[in-house]
Amino acid sequence: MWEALNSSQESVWREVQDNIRRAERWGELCLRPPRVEVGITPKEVVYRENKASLYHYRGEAHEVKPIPVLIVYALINRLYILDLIPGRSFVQHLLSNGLDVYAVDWGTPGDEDRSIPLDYYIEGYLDRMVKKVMALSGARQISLFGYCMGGTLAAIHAALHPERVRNLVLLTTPINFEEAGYLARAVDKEYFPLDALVDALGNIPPWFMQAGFKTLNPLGDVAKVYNFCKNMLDESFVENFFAMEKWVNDNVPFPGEAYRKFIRELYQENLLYQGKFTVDGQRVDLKRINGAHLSVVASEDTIVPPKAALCMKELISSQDNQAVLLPGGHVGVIVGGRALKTTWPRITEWLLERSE
Amino acid sequence: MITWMELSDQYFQWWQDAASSYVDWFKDQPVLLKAWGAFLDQSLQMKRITDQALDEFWRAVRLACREEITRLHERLNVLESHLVELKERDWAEEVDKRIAGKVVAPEDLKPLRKTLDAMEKQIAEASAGAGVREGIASLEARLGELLGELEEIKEIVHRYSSYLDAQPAISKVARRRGPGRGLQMRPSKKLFSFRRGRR
Repeated sequence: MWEALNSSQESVWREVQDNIRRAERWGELCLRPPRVEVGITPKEVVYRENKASLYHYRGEAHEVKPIPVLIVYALINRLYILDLIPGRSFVQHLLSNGLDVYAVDWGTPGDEDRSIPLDYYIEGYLDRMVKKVMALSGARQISLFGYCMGGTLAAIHAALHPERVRNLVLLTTPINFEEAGYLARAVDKEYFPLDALVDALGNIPPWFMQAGFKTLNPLGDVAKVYNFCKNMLDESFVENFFAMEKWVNDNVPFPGEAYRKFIRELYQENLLYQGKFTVDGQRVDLKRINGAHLSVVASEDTIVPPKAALCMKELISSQDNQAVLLPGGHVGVIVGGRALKTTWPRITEWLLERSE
Repeated sequence: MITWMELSDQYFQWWQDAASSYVDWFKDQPVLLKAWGAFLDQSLQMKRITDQALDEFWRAVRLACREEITRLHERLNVLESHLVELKERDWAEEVDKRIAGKVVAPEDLKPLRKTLDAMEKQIAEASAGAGVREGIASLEARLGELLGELEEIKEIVHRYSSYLDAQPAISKVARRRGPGRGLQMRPSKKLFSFRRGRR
């Protein structure tokens, strides 16, 4: 009885001491938040058009595979999201395994970019960047790696030019937008004033999209703060936390006309899944994709629920065709602690086997 | 024995599970989505009216409004894209040919190197011939034309950028057109509709 009381007393005392330390640390972090340096893998711009740039990463591997990998991000994401911090850089991981890595940076659109249609992003910028990668690497085909909306753009490009794409890797990529969960319901034709939004705002500001993502899990922020308070004495946790926060809150505006087409024809009408989506007057038939394909889907993803992404496997005609469901959310599946042991090796091994 | 931290974890988890089911139910209500849509629509209409009034004000004081400057920037973007297309045409065509199988990839060039060397010798021998000289002259003329075109476009870009930098210049044009009329630009939906490979 006395022992139990004594141990309980000790536990309370320890907790009080920890909480005092936490309060001190909180004050320190508020006064001097740590500076997180992201995207530090050496790279150079090899092509630039307006605000879009194509980067070539410099790796240190002795032997580089002949088939280059081109990473395509969503129009609202920054270049560094897969090259976060040392130890959490997927790009660095690909390079160290001997892959030749390029990445598309869409840049930050200004008011003058509001009229650039989605078609031009695919058949203008992306088309030229793919060609540039082929010209620089001397390869006849490349590997396209798309993340989230970048995956949708990559899949459309691969369907329009299947002869260029040897491998297509889609990470949490929405294809069947009818299954896109709450986001699809929130932009339903009946409620969502899409035209008024684009006409009035031009480019869709990041705060507007952030608000949409926050609505998916309104209590997520409370849980985040709770976890932060609990683990704030752990230096590596704090570093990762700030890096992730930088990523999640550092979006760029969505170009207006591209947004209009993306929401109307993909989210509201689901034309890509039905095979009726057109780019520059050409119908996008996903069946034309015949290269190797790997879809990586996150089991706890609320932005792109598994059902919206897994269907890609059924829509294409590739012989080498895989879709895998891995643990994690939309972001965690590629930069979370588990990703280093699950997603990264899975994707890298798959690419290495097919990049000879 | 359970620690305070474990206890608080358990309590937090219970609270989160209980609250999230209510929040999920609430946020999915069509009434809420409809109300949100209507509110957003009204706010956007207000913004549009305010923007139009501001534009009118700038025009009234004979300055270019934001819309007009944006349109000019858009045109510059299109010109820049055309320039890039011209500048990068060589490799783009080379890649097109490579994809179509008309030109092989560099890794496949080794077996052809001997043939190329032999052809080089033949060209050197034939260079004294009149036909080859004419061919070279026509190629040089075409190259000159292309360079001329490039200079023309550079000139246009240069002209527009200085025009944008100088705000008084914009207001001067607006003044010349009379009150209430700024630089009238057409809607730019078709600005980016040019296809690849077209000049």
